[in-house]
Amino acid sequence: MRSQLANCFKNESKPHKFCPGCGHGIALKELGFCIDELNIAKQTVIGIDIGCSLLAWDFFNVNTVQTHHGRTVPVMSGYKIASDKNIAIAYLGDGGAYAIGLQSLLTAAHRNDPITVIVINNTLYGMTGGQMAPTTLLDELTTTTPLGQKLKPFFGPELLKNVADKSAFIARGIVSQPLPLRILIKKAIENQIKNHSFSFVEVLSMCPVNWKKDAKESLQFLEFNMLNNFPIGEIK
Amino acid sequence: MKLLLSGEGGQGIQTIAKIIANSAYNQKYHISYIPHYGVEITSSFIAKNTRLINLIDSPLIKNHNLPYKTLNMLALGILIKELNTTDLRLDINNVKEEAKKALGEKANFEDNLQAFDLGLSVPPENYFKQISKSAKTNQPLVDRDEKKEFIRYPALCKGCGLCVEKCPKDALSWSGKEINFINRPLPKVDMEKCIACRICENICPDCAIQVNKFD
Repeated sequence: MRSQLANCFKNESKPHKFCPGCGHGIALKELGFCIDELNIAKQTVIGIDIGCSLLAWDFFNVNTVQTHHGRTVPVMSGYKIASDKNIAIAYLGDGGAYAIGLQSLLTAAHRNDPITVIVINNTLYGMTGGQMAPTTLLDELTTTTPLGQKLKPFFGPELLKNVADKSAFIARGIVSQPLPLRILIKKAIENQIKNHSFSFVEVLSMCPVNWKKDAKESLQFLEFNMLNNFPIGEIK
Repeated sequence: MKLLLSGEGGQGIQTIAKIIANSAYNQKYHISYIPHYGVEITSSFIAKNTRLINLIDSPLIKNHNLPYKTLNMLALGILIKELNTTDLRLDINNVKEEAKKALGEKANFEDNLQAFDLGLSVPPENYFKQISKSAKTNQPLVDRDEKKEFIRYPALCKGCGLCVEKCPKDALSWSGKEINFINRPLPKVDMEKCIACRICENICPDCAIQVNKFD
């Protein structure tokens, strides 16, 4: 019988530790189906960052590495150098990727390290209470920008496009369209295996708790405000 | 042991926490009292073995218009009674002294002490809300007709409502009576409207829905 859970899920850890309505659950579910479709559960290692992304440590029956804040990308690069046949996936939030870990991410893209990076962008720091992040939208209210953010958001994939190699795969997906997101994540992992080059997927996600919105308003914010700022699709 | 008391601001949760902390300190427990305002309230509901003390629907206070301080003392009594079944055993007279220090100047304190005594003596079936059997035993709830079946897992659903918002035919609604493992309502499906498009199954972050189409 068909199951709604992926085979590589760790069923003892379900229900998982994320808040109700969190986009991490959808992104991780699609990652799980990609791992199933490619049949790589035994050779995959997922590196997780500090922040809400660390709650993914027991989501799969897959080996995970907990790294320092923002240092997930270099740790997984090092792992990939040491064991070339395995598949390295770095799973981190927008604070870890674009604020404290930006130089590591840029260098990995510049060197064309053969790893897959998945960045969850929910426009703020979720675990610490909804502070402003580099990706906070113009005029968005957060706990540290009570009068509205005055800066434009940070465009990670567009920046990486300029430094990355020709064979790199860079894309942006959204959790409210799960099946296109699955295709993007699958392409990113296949790019690591076949072309042996850097691949990057940014996932537009939602945080109903810190946005202080219900399901309807969260989807509206995600599909109108965020989608108007961040274009989705394959960027490179 | 960790004791997390969470509530909405201004409802007396701080006072209850202070009374318990001071009383435990007087009885030479090593304690830290950490008041915090933030998002932890949401995560507190997701602990797996949550038992909700539901005073609103209980016959104790239903249809009686009781003041808030009385309700607080009643809740404190029930909490102390439940704590005394764990490692943290508090002396009831000491708790009463601490309550007098915190609330003694407020009006009707003597009446509220009676509410505390009442809380200590209430049987559990009056305040523990019944968790549905399906949520406890991980039994899926199946709706079936000739063309499709719609399966809901109450042990996985957190009640975020994304499926209800995403449904293109408005087949899902909150009108059902079933509840999930954290005592939030479970969306109900209207099998006549459902076209088995699987959008709800794909959007669900907790994998709590499964839709099968028969050929």
